[in-house]
Order: sequence, then structure tokens, then C-alpha cells
Amino acid sequence: MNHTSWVQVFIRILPFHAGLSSRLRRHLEQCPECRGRMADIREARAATVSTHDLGMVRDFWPRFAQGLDRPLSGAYSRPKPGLIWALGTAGLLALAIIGVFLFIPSAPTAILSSGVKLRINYVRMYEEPAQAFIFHTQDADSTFVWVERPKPGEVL
Amino acid sequence: MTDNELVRSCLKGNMESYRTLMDRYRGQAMALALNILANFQDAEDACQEVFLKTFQNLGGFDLERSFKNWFYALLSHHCLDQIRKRKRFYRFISRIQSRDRMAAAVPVASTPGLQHDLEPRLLSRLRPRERTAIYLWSQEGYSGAEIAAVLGCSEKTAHVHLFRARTRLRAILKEEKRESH
Repeated sequence: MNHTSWVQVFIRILPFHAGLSSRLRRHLEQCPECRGRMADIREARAATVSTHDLGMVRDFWPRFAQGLDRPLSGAYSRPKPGLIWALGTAGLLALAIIGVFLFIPSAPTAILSSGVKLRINYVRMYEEPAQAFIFHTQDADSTFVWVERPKPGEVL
Repeated sequence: MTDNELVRSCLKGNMESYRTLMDRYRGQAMALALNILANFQDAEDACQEVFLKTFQNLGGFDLERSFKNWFYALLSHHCLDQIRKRKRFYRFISRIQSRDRMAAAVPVASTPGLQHDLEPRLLSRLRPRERTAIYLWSQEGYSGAEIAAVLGCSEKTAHVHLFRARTRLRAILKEEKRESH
């Protein structure tokens, strides 16, 4: 009803509300555009459910009060799902890091130091007799063979 | 007290203020939910959940905005989500059941407590967003901009929803009149 600006001007200027409403009513009865729009609204109202059609609506308060998991005061709000996910992921990551440190196999040096050390003397290196050591670890099924040239002056 | 004053009071810990807000909007909330979902029980559940969700998010409400529009936006989004879920469920069921049996099992509009019957034939032929738009326009007197704020779309899109709903509704009514003659 934007085209009825002169009617709105009248409404503001004239002090007699009864007269104004009858003028407006007359316009609504005569103007085909407004009549069509009013008919549209009436049809839409008839097709949709209004608060009047519902009658007495159930009081949601009792169930609402039950739905609150703890007494609230002020602007309480539950943590948002994004925050929950972020915290959960951070927790899992921390657990994974701790797990890696707890269950990582110990360093080879530690294994070697804890293992049994044997020595054999019949290995040759560059056509010369060499020292050979065999390390057998205690907690793993691994055997390391270490061969080195004899130090100067050392007799095998 | 205005809505925003009630919200402010509620944020200070006054639960009675929220009760007043709920009493003020429960009828309109039910009407909107019923128009979108076309099922009384679903509409009641939706209202219940959205009243709780609204309360839990009151801290994030901008007190410069309209509480009613914000509440309607939460409610309509919840209802539209419910319809999406319902569609998925029915698609799953329809794989199991035959089409005829399915049609008999789906409640279109069981609305106990209504003073006059909901027009399921009319409403079911409009899309959920169109139903929302036409309810807000005809029953609440909302403008295109306000409908857009509730639906979370542009004003142009809201006008398109409303225009389509009105056109479709007019066509359906015309068709029905022709059939009755």
C-alpha cells in the first residue's frame, strides 16, 4: 500500500481518527490493488494455523525446568560443540604423545649396554685379523656384530 | 516490560522473567512450528527444545536486536532441521515398506486440540520455507526484511519464498473451488 502515501499524510494531519479510519476503509474497498492484497492475506490466514486456532497451548515450563540439568543463574550457556571437540582432540593428542614416550622402544645404546657381549677372534678385515664382537640384546631378538681393526700394538 | 528488559532481567538470574517470556511466546511459537511441521506432537517437541536452546544461548543474544525475531529464527531453523531429518527417516523407511503402506503410516497432520482442522492439503503443497514465510506474513504481519532475518536469507530470497507461496496457495484454492463446482 505504498501508493497510498496521501492517505498516510491525511492520517498524520487530521485529528479525527474515526473519520480517518472510515476514509481508509473506503480506500481499501475501492482500490483494486489493496483489495487484492487484503484478499491474499485473508486466504493465507485461512490456510495457516493461528494462535486463535490453537486455543490453550500447553505450558512448557514444567518440562523446561526438568530439562535444565542444574540450577542456572545469569547468562549460563553450555560450552559450544566446537569447544568440546577442540578440548577432546587436544586431550587425545596429549594421550598419544604420552603413549609414544611410554611405549617407544629404548635406544640401541641402552639395548647394547644391557646385552651380552661376546668376542671372537677369527674374523679378518682387509686381509688382516680383526676384532669382532657379538651383542645379543636381552629384551629383543636382535644380534649385532661389530668388527674393528686391532689398535696399533694390540696383539690378537 | 519489553522482551529485551525481560531478557536483561533473566541474565541477572531472574528465572521468572524467562517464564514470562515463555508465556508470551508459547502460542505464537506453537503456531509457527505447527505451520512448518504440520504435526502437533512434533511442534510441541520443537517448541520445548527451542525454549531450552534459547535460554542456554541467552548470553549470546544481542540486546539491540529483536528478541522475537531471534527466537523465531531459532525455532524455524530447528523445525526445518526436523523436516530434513524426517525426510531422511522416511526415505529409509520407504526402502523397506511399499509406497502405499508408507503413505498410510506417515501422519500428515494429527492435530488434537485444534479448534478447526489444519489444512494439510494446502500446507503440504507448500515448501517448508514457503510455509514459514506465509505464516509470518499473514499472521504476524512481517515484512520481507523481517522474514529474511528469521529465515537467515537475503530479503530478495524471502520475497521469492513469499511470492511463490502466495501464487501456489492461490492456484490450489482456485483448483479446489473448481473441483467443488
